[in-house]
Amino acid sequence: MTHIEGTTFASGDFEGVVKLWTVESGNFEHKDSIQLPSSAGAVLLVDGARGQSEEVYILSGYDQIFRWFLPNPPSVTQVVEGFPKGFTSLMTHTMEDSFFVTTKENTVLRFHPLNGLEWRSDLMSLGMSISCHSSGKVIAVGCSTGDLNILSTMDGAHISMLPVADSDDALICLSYSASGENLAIGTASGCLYLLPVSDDGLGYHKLNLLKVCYIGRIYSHSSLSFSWNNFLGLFLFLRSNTFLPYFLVLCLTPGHLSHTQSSMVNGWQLYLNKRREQRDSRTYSL
Amino acid sequence: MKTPSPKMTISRTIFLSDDTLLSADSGGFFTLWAPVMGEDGHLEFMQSVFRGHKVI
Repeated sequence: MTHIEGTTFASGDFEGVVKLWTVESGNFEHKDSIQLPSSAGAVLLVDGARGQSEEVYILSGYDQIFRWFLPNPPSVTQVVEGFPKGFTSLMTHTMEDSFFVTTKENTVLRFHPLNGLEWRSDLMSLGMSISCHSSGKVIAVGCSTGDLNILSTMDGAHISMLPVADSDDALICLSYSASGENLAIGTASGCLYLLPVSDDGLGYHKLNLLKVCYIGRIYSHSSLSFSWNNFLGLFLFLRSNTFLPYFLVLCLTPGHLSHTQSSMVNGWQLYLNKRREQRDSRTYSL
Repeated sequence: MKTPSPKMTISRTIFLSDDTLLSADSGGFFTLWAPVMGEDGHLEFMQSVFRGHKVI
């Protein structure tokens, strides 16, 4: 599921169907839908473009990427044909009509939907998560070895590599806040890192480390996601392998991080306010 | 109020422009979570569930 703009969003399913919706005052309206070719498989990921065009990028189970161009007349085209398979994540550019993917060959690729490959950048390890800063200048790539790579969106040049987590703790989920002032990072061992960001995505300061111990090990990168909100702060969602979904609301206030915890799905109404702070004095500057 | 079954999994969540959180689950339901700040200062959510799309 991905937000497109305002109250419009898109959702995808196992059957390769992507649907476009709007929701106004609690009323959902199904606006349009597409069916991917049977060779594409299930819809693994949909990401609404943040650049100039209203479009949705779709990563399918069989490593195919599609572009759903929404303005009339709507059209669906397959992009990124003929490249090595094994895409691990996809993120659209925040300012331009292009998108980034990480691959199992330890690379990051930038594509333009019409012009194709724009650059390729090699990583030291497997890239598992990706997020584009609101300035459009840099992308953050989380790796299987616990490292955070900061790359230039212009040419893929390596700006810096930050050792965020232990070498056996993969960074499976990344998300810059809308303002670009924070970067949330989730790891496979259930740790959450929150890094204040400065200088249009060029400066990072590791201020707070929140250990979410009760989550346990996360085996699938699709099990964890972040949503940022100006009012609520950071919303963390965990989809566990044991079908016991949890969610956390992290309220960001100056100097500390607190979170409100809920329990399982059937316990939505149960909120426990807890505060866990674990300072980490290490500071990184680029 | 309808709530998702514990056997269902929930897809990624998104915030809409009015600060309402939207989640979707594998059972085909969309849930809107409207944030409300309680008198004690604790954050709570008003929920509304709709049949929508069986997402992954």
